[in-house]
Amino acid sequence: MTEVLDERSLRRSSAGRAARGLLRSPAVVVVSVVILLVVVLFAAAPSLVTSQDPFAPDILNKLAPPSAEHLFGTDDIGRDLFTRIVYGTRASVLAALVAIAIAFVVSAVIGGVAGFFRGIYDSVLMRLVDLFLAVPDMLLALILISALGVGTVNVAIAVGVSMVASLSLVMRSTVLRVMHSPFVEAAKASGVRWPRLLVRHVLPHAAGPVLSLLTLEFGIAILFIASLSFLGFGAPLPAPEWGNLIAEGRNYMATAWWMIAFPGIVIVATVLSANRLSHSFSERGQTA
Amino acid sequence: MVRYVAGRLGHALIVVWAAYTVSFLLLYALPADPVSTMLSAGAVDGSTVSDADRAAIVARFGFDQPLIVQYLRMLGHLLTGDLGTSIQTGSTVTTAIGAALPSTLQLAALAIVIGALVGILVAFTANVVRSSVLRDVIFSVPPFLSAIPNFLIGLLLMWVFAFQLGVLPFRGSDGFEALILPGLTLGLSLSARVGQVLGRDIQRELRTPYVDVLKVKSLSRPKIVMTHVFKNAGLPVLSVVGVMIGGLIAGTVITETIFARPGIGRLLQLSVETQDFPVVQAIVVLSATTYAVVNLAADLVIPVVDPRLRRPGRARTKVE
Repeated sequence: MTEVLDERSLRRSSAGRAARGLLRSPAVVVVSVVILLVVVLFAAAPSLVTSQDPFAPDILNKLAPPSAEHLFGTDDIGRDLFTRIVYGTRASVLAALVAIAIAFVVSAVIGGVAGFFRGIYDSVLMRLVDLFLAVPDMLLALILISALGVGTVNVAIAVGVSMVASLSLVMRSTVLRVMHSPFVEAAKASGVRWPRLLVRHVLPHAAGPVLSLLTLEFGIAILFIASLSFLGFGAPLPAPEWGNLIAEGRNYMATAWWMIAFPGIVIVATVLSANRLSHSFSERGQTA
Repeated sequence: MVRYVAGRLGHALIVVWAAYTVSFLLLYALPADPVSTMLSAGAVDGSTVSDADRAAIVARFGFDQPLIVQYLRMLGHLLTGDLGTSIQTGSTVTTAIGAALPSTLQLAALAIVIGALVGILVAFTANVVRSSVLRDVIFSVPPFLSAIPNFLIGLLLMWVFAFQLGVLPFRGSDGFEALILPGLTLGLSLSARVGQVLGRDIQRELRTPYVDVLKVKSLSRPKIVMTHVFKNAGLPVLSVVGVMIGGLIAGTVITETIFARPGIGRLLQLSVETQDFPVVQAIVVLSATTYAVVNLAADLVIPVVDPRLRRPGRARTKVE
């Protein structure tokens, strides 16, 4: 579904201008894109980036500081930290993407139906959303994890579901804004039926803001998932994730600062890049 | 006015009921089995529990009854202040929460003070500074802070003040010294939200015509912001209080885990891990109640502070 939207938006809507606009935008945006591409590369093909084994211990070199051989140093049993971060990227990024996918599909349906058809659908769906808004995101995710059990997949589901309510509100208001624009009124007046109205007129114009929103939500999901993984609800060790790597490093932080510094820098860089990119999407969308 | 208060009060009650219902549905309607979790945790030597004993335990917690019966029974207990029994420890949930609450309240109080002070300070200086470069830098502080996970801020503070400088304890909950680092951790992440919202509000307010009049009267920028703009821009912040409470709950789970403080957040983390559903649900209802009460207070204070909203029957415009 995202791909369909992307294709369409690249051709016609503000997001297309946004993507083209990237080429002549300031260096910060370029750096952000590069960082995100590197992260995607880590996730897609970790073995291309590093030749070492994320699980192979090397007791003689335990807690070694960063060096040419071990770029980010080693952990308490001598595993290469850079390798573990690279392999941990896959679980963390995939979990964030799954969460976003769940949140996007469900909230697009809820917000889309509520905003497009209005009336009774709107009232019923929005009351339902209100029900879930009564529980803060983090608590909702923790409730779901207690019911589903721990693990990367369950964390992704929990984060995805807990993002649905607030995202539905945004989706609804995005659709409503498009629905109120003159060209939609004109289409309605000239007797266009609702399926065509939705596909030809409403969705393409909602795609730009939604793309910006989803990029932002990606950063939020990364933070959220890292926190839950840090608390021990993600993959059990020794499987690496960005969050549990830091939890592991916590026990050695007095001597081995690199064990929390490097995973931390990777998380912050990813989130800042996603935020920056989202910002430039919405900026271009507005001015263009 | 009576109608307004009654409406707000009703809304607060609905929030608490909604939190109770959502958490009940997710915890008890999904196919999870807390009794098995408890039994497997208790079985040290791998011995198995007979089916009869198992059924007795299930019956004791009422898990064998239809969902709707469980729902109504628990709701009834809740109304009389009975939060149920912990599956893990067997003691009442009220006891567990009562023991954890003071520590969390201290932490939350300090965090709110730090969060509000730092947030206001950042928003204020960002709008007053003359150099546009410096202004951009200060404006980017709150978004930058909110991109750093809470636990990383905590660990960084711990590394600097406990391990490098050795001036503050890195864990525990004895005395005020042990409260400073957790308070800063939570407070800084709250300040990011406050700073962002307030900074934006002040910025918007500075573009209004009355500010132009004040500029013509050659008032200095800090003075305009402090004495005139702040009053108007500060109001929406009262509504952000709700958001703050949400962040506070998420923050205590992480902060208390890092600094090993025996509070509500730590209790929640342990209860989620052991699938102790009654405790999880009680904490959800407790935080929803806090959220509802604080928002109710804000809703009731705002018309007093802002005369424009005092006319009866007119709902205040919701921020965000």
